[in-house]
Amino acid sequence: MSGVLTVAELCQHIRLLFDSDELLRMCFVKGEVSGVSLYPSGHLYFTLKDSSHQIACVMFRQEHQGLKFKLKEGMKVTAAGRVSIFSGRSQYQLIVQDLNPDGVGELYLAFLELKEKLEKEGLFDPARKRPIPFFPKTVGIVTSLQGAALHDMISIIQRRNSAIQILISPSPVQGQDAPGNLIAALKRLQSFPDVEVILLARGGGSLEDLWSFNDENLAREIFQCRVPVISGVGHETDFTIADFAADKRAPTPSAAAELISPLQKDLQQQLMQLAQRLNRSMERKIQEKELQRLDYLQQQLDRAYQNKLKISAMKLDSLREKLEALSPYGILNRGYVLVTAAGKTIKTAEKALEKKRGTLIFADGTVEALFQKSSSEKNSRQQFVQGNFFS
Amino acid sequence: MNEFSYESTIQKLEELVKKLESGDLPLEESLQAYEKGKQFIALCSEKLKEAQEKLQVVVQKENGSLEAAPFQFEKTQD
Repeated sequence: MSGVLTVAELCQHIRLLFDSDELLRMCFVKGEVSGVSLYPSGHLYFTLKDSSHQIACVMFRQEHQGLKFKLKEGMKVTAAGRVSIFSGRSQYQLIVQDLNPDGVGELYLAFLELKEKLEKEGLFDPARKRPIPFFPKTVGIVTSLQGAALHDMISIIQRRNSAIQILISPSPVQGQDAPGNLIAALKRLQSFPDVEVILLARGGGSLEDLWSFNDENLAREIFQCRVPVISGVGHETDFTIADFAADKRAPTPSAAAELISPLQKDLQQQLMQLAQRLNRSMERKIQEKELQRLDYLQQQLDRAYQNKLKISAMKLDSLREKLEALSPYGILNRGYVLVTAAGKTIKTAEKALEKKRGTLIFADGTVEALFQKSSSEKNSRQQFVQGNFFS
Repeated sequence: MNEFSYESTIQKLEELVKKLESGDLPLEESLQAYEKGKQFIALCSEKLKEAQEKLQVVVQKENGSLEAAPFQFEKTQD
């Protein structure tokens, strides 16, 4: 081939060169991801770069759908694929067939190693986890002053229970110095004797952002902390070494705040109910006792009354007997007559003659009578009576 | 350790009320239990009252000693 080439001929030649090169046909490239963009066609375009170079990459639909992670900006990856020329534009690109999150892989490995080591030492032993105080007077919070997490936690605690005091011990929550600062912040809180529980918290972020919470020394500080520590790092799906070492893991900072703040109105209600029950049972007790005493007194009273009645009845009986013994009717039954006039007993003949008329009382009734002087002188002491029955 | 714990005090209070409610206690002991119950309630309601300084932050003074100071969010935030 000599002379002048067409553009197409040149491009095809270059393409052939690329396609026949063994290295370019299958290579592994390490780099940082940037400019990720998913096209409507379903193909994924991004750039792999290091400090001085970059290469355009494409990952076709069927390949990137099998990925177990979401490709993100700044991620360090190892790509497997071939380099080819898009001949129409004379641009070469890496056609990626497989991707491995390199950085993540290393971090994850380190994470697993540390987790295993501390687990063996017993730092995560469920038996050593301390109970979380149900209603702490003072809560310590270790987090960043700049994060939304602090704001969320404070408003949750204050809304749920205004009696809880909050003591904030600020610390950066990401970056190289974060673990040391977090440890120092924990230590500072422990020097306040009022602090009953500590929330170690950070809002959501990337795996690298949360990495400070996978620090070995931080885990040890949590383990030996004077009071129980609740971790609330990242989102529900994030697990850190701090979470394992903590006495309790909350899925989020807000959840951690809720764990230590029982609703005040519930507590007040519970207390009021208990006070009511206490009073009521005591009242009942006193009432029972009083009622018993009343019962006893009533019994005694009854008994005394019955006795009194019995004695009275006996007295009455004897009086009645006496009275009956004295009754004039007893005599009348034997044939005697009682002479009366104007309601008075006439005891002498003289009086009878003086009254001229009166009433004779028999056992069975009374008779009106006129009194006359007796005709027989011999029997002058006897008065004869003439009269009619009235009764 | 004689630290006051809200939860355990409430538990004691519950037990005590149950005992009183069962009516098995002699009057003398009932009275004692009642007085104790009232103490528990007073302690718990004291704790339910609002705290004075609710929000504080740990600050380190120049001599290195630690101190709790009132805390407020900076207005520039959000």
